[in-house]
Amino acid sequence: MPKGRKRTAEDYEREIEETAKRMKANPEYLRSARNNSVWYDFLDGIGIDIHNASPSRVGFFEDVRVAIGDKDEKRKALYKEARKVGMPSKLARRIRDWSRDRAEREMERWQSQY
Amino acid sequence: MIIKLGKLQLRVYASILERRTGICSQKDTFEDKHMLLWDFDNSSIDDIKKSLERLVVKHKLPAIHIISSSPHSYHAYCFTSRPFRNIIHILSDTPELDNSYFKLGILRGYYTLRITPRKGESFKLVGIILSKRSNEMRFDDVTINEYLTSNKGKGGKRHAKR
Repeated sequence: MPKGRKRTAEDYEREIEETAKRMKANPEYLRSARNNSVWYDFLDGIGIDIHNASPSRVGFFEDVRVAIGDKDEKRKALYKEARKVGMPSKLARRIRDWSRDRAEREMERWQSQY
Repeated sequence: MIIKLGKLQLRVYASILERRTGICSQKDTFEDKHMLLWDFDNSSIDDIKKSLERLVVKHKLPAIHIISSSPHSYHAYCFTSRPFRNIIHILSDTPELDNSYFKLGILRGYYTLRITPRKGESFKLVGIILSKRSNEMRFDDVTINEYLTSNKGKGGKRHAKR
């Protein structure tokens, strides 16, 4: 395509047709992704641990949610921490709705008192 | 380079090809079972998320992973195991999907997404559309292919200058 000319819808159509013709003449060879380091590295890079993940593993998506910083998961983690330091569940539930700083301050205060 | 020979004009183009690896929608174990792969160009992440949330409910899909592939460009992965016709039906129901990608996949019989990053870019998980349904296939039950391309993406020239 000449330099400076804007690509039109026709250009795109022609490119698709040409690519399709080329592919029909030289079919691409598909290989299994099993044990392929590029695919595994890609999954690892986006936070999916293929060795610990299977379709039936219910906790998997929760792990990913924690990894990407899901709000609900952070709240759950705060609740667990609060219960660990001995807070009653009623107060620990309230902590879930606070900010991280405020929840930590409250937990320290609780630990120093009891 | 342009060569003029009377009424004839000859144009010669040269480009550097790069070897890339792509993940294909087709399953390794079944030829007519595919996973869902989306390619979005020039769409906002909010619009994409809204569309995918609607699709998860409408088509009873498992969770969808959204990945930023380059600035203003996103890929999405859903580990389904469905016939190709069904895959086309779901993809055509996504308004933000890249048109060329959609057409090329139909002609080829499967969809491919690049999994090797371009120079100066990296893949980043930007969100997951959660679903109560579990994945319909294993993560490694897919196929890959290697191809040569001169496509450097929209940021290609910019990165090359750096």
